[in-house]
Amino acid sequence: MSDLALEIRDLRVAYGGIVAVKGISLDVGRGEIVTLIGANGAGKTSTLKSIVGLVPPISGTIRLFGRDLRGVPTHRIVADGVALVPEGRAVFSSMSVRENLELGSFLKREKAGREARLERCVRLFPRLGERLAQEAGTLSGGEQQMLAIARALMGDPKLILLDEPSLGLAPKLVAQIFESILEIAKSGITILLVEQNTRLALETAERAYVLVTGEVALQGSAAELREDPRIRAAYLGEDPAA
Amino acid sequence: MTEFIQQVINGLSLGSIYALIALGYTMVYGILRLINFAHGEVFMVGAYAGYYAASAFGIDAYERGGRAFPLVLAVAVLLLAMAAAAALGTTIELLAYRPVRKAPRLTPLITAIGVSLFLQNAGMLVFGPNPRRYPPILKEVPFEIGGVIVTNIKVTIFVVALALMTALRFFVLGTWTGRAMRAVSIHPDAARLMGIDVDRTIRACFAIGSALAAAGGILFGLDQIMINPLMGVLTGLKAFVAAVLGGIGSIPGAVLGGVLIGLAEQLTAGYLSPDYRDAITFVILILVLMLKPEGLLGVVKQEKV
Repeated sequence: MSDLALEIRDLRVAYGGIVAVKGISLDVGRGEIVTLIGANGAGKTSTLKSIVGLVPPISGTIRLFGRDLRGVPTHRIVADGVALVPEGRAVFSSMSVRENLELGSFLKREKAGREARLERCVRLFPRLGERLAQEAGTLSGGEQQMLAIARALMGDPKLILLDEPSLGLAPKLVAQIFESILEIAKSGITILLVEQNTRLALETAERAYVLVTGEVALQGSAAELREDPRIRAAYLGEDPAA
Repeated sequence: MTEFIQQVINGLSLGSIYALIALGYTMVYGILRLINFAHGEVFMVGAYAGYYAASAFGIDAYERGGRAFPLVLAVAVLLLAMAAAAALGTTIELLAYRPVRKAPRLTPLITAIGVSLFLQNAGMLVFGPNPRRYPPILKEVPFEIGGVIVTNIKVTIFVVALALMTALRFFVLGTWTGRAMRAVSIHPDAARLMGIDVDRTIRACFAIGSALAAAGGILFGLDQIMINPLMGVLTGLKAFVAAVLGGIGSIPGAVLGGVLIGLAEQLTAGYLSPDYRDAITFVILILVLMLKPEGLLGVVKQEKV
């Protein structure tokens, strides 16, 4: 059994005729929090989408817990223990919060386990607990993000891919979401985090990959990258001379 | 007054047949954004499947002997026709629609029209172009309540349709496959991420919609006595208008639209002129498209931010 939750080699992904990912390689160890940072259009979302099979890669290999995912449809990849919390949340807007959460357990519908996970989600996000009967489309952006994360947890995944969880949220909510991400990681779930908020991502993750126009420009421990003058200048908005 | 009640009863029974067919249009549209123009032909094939099943069960002998066709066999005829239509519907999906699912929306639409024409002509070839008398799966017994004449057939049509629609409601709201259908119709990619097999869900949708259309076909045969290979054209169009009137993609909307179209048709025939009974449906279509294009229970699709 491989120590790696995720192993990507020379991945190339085209999106709408444009090659968005130009041969990246990255590893995510079991239980790690790894972040993928970079500007808009750097290929972060395309990478996540190709991991779960929503966008098939042109070339390269993706291994999930040692298993090659080539040609495997999304629902089977999900069954292998990976969950994607998509950019823009993609909640089922005309369904209730509870129905959204239950759909998260589509592949693990055994009742006792499902209810235990629902309870855990409500503990993690008490605001969802208060709104179980509410239609998901009427939730605020922050609540929808919580719902999308909770829905992913309802499938009892071993690896969670998070796509821009801070996007469009007030700073206070962002802090709250990231606290829960750390808590999820503590429970032993591996996390690959895509984030434009570089500072936050580097504070949360253990290791990081920096994507620039579809290629890995830099990689290393999050602590190292936080101190890297190139990162400080390009992503943390600091003057390198200071 | 009694005449009005009479018309309403006839309209309800006709409308419940339209509702059963409209459900198939709306379910497929909800999940694929495709107007399945071949659905009227699935309804026609369902009616013929019932016809042949009843013959195979020896309905002629019962009729000659003056005995009623046993209820068990009548139910078996219904179930067999529903199964046959489900098989046809899923085959159409697999062979005709799946290959063009990712093509621009006009492609599947034209494909659907092609399948419809193909099945009309295949029907004339296989079943013969002449109308056939529908076998009396249920012997007609009229009875009178306060001057209004009701037949057991009208009541049966209404009851069977209501039972099937109730079953569908429980299925869609209460089962995992039903939930999967709703999830796919709201957000297909998010549904995939839940581990839902979208292909299987679409297949289930075609199977159920087609089975309901077959039930509609048998009830139509019982009600109208004659069936022919082109019966799906006009009835299919009316059921489609019913789905649009109710709000295409909405299951309660299809039921409401079906009943309203049935009532409108019957009342027009009764009070205006039987000549206008087919025209009124399309007058309604034009009015809906002008005044409330999203339909009575449909929602305006909001653009995703």
